[in-house]
This record gives sequence, structure tokens and C-alpha cells, in this order.
Amino acid sequence: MELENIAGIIFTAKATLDRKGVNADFYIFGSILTKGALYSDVDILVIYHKDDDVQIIRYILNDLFYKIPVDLCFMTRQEERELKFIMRTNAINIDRAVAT
Amino acid sequence: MSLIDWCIDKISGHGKVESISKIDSTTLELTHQNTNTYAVSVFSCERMNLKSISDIDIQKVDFILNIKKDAYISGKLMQLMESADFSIGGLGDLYSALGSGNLSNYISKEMQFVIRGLSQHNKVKRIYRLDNRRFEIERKLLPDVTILVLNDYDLTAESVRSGIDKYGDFDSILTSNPNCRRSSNAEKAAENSGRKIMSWGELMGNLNKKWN
Repeated sequence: MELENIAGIIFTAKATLDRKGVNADFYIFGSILTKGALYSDVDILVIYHKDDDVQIIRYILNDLFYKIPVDLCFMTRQEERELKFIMRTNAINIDRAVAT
Repeated sequence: MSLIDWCIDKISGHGKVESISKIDSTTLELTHQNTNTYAVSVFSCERMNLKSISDIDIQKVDFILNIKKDAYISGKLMQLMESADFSIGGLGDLYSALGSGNLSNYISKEMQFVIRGLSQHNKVKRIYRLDNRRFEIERKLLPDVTILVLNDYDLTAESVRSGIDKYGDFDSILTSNPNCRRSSNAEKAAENSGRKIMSWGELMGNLNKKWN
């Protein structure tokens, strides 16, 4: 239930960002993906394409996640490749997170 | 679901919590397995200072739970927290405090390590906590330096930029997570701002030298 709620919030954020011409990819990782785990926050990886977009993405997500603690990790695609973040953390794309 | 109801739902799942109840719309009371009861005030704020907690009766509260992750906490509020015996932290901090059974004097393991290590360095005369993540370090026969402590597992260019935005003035970034990986863009972002990124070992070595 919780994961669907969180995905719903991110989809709302994506729609708002799309309307503003801001593109970003969102992934969920961390303990929320472990069934039955006691998690203290929701870890979200944001892959952004332009430096100027970060502030608005942060603002919109923080606004929507007023009641849930989120840990936002911002990376460019180049940084993600360099740090192999998705592979190391088993992060899953938000679209797949809902289907799982 | 309200903020406090969401917190009650999460905290009640902690193994050390015997019972939990809502006192009012922003305060909850929990009974620990050690039989002590603790009052926890819940709110959501990105930048915490004395004004932002003015509605909270700090004499009755053991822990202020801030739902916002990695919020800024001003130095004056840090001082008040120490003198008035209450703690501030996120849900992860509250879980750790529940684990230790000490909610009113909680310090994260990360900060305990940093404070202890800095205090024991033979070139360090005194440290001043400027806020929840910056320390001004007064050194013997060397200029003072200010460090920003970041606990990111993956330090990116945006981690550096948001650290500068949030905390402002400092000389270097200490990556307190021993497994921290830095992207090359993070190094560039720090270099472009005139700052260095240091691991714990690098900081310990550089404290012996003039670097700023």
C-alpha cells in the first residue's frame, strides 16, 4: 500500500514537472523495497538532465512529501554510470516499482 | 492520514516500544521497554531555529521528531538542545535513540565519532559546533578551519552544491561515511567553489598543515 502511495506522489510530481518542461527519471531504493522492514525514510534517486532543473524538482518533491521523510539523491546520468548506483543499490524505476 | 498518525504507525513497529498514544495533534507519548515514558513532538521543517520550535514546550518534550530529512539546525538551537535535555532528529535518529533507550540526550554515532576524533587530534585546541553539520576547528599555531560534515554514501555534484546552499560558509567537506564514493563531478564542484573534499583520514592529516 505504502509503495503505491509513494509511487502515486512521484507520478504527480512527474506530471507537474512535465508541464513545466522538466525531465527527470525517478528510482526507488533502500529498505522500503524490503517487505516487512521498518524503514525510516523513502530513498529516491533522481536522475536529472539539466543543473537548473534540480531546484524545481527538489521543491516539488519536498512539497508533496510533506508528511513522509524522503531522502533525495540527485545524480546526472553520467554520475550514475560512474558510481554504478542503480546496480549497487538495486534501485528500481518508479514505473516498475508499482508493477512489482 | 495526518503526520502524527503516520509517525505513530511507524514508531509502533519498533521493537523497543511497548505502547504509544497521541497526546495532542503534534505530540505523542511512548512507553519504552525500559518502562520509561517519553514525549515526542512531531513536525516538518527544513530549517530549524529557535523560532521554529517556539510553539513546543521543550520542558515537556524529550525528542523533537522532524520529518524533513537532513534539515538544517541552527547553532543556537543546538546549544539549547544540549542545555535543556532534549534531542532533535529524523525518524532514523528516533529509531536509534529508542535502540539506546536514551531519547533526551541522543547524539548520532556519526557525530559522536567526529566530535571525539576531532577533540583528540593533537593540533586541535577547541571545536565549535556552528550548526548540526558544521564545525569550526581552532588549531594550535595554525589558522582556524571550518568543515562541513556530509554523510552521503554517494557524494555527487548536487550533494556539494546543496551543502553550500544550505550551510554557506566552510573551507572543506568531510565525508564522514567511511564507504563514501565521490563522483568526479563532485570533486569538480568542490574545486570550483574553492573547497576540498576530504575523507576522515585526509582530514586528520590535513589538520597538521595550513590548508586554507
